[in-house]
This record gives sequence, structure tokens and C-alpha cells, in this order.
Amino acid sequence: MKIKQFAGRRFLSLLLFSVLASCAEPTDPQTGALLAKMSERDDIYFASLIRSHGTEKCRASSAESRKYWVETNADMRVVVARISALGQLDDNLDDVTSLQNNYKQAQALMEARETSPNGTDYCLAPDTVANLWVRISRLNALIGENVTFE
Amino acid sequence: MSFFSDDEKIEIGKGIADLLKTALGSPELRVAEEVDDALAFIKKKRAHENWTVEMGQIYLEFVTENAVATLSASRKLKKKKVRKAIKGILTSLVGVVNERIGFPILPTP
Repeated sequence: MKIKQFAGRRFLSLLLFSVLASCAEPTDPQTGALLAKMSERDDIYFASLIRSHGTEKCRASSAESRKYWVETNADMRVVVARISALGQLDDNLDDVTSLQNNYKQAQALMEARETSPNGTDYCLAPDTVANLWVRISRLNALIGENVTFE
Repeated sequence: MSFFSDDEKIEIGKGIADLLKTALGSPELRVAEEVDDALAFIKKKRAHENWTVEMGQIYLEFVTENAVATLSASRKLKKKKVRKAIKGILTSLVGVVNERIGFPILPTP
């Protein structure tokens, strides 16, 4: 009789655990860490674009810019792939796709400025860079708020 | 410098809320404000920094995408639906926007 009671309690505990686990926030520490790393890199890059305005460094084709965009686009592909693969984070795919689109549009705007300079200025103005930076940061933070990655 | 009047911004917010079948609230008004800021920004950049039409269009796409993400998150709505609503509002404003900004930033339907 005692064995039956014990088995019954154990079954209930397991059932409760399963229900709670299925209600928990989706988790993926790697994606969370990658988004945080991207955010730190964004801060360094966009601040450097503002500081280097008027020099070669702020151009879309500079070595610094090329390195940043290669790394960012590659990391973004990893984030999208991981979220697509982990069905439990599917709700976030839309937001991550928006972030990916925002990066592409920011890069396209920088390239368009270099192709059509304002006189001898081949870079986006500091207030434009700040504008892009703030919005991208906000979107990255929004994704982090919506999902618990830890 | 505002692109739309305060009344027009409220109308834009209402239009978005109607298309989303939600009550008008601060998220919709914030999107209207963001679209207004973006258009005023583009107009200024075109006048003072020789932004091309393409640059204006890219920037408006950037702001719209960003606004879609924030509105869908705050209203817990599917992004596809929110994007359709914001694009719908912009399409309904194509005449006045293109005239005020001075170039075809929005495609004529």
C-alpha cells in the first residue's frame, strides 16, 4: 500500500514538473549571449563612426566597417538559424527578422551615402548614425526582454 | 519640426488602431509620432545633406520595420498584421506625404 502511495506521489510530482516545465520561458543561453555580444559590438562600432566622422574610417567601405558588417551579418544568420531550429523560441523569430532587416537597412544607408556623397562627405552624419544606433539597440533589448535566455 | 499636425498624428494613430481592431492607445500614437519624426528627418536630410530618394526610402523602411517590432511587442500582435496596418496607413497618405516631402518617397499604388 505504501509503495502504491509513493508511486502515486512520484507520478504526480513528475506530472507537475512537466506542466511547469512546459509553461516556463523559452531558454537558449547561446542565443542570448550572442545577442549581448552583438549589442556590445554595435556600441563600439557606432560610437567609432561618430568619433571618426570626416575621416576615411567612417565610410561603409573602410576596413573597420567591412569587418563589423561581416561579423554582424554572420552572427545574425546564426541567431536566426538557432531560433528557427529551436521551435520553442519561434515567437521570437519575427522580432529577430526585424533586427536582421534593420541591420541590412543601416548598412544599405551607409553604402548609399558613400555612393552619393554630400560634397566630399562620404559618411552618414553623426546624428543619423546615433538615430540608427538607438533604434537597433532598442530592438535588441526588446528581444532580450521578451525571452528569458538564462 | 513636425511633418504632420497634431490632429493628423492622432488620425494616423486612430487609423492604425482601426486596422488592428484595437483601442487607440499610446503604442499607436507612438508609431504615428515615429513616422512623423522619420518623415521630418528625411525632409531635413534631403534639404541639408543631399540625401537621395533611395536614402530616404531606405531610412523610412528602417523606421517602419523598427516601429512594427515595437508595436507588435507592446500589443502582443503578429508582426505580419502590424506591418500590414502601418503600410496601409502610409499608402492612404501617399499623396500628402509625397507632396509635402517633395519627392516620391512612397510608391503610388
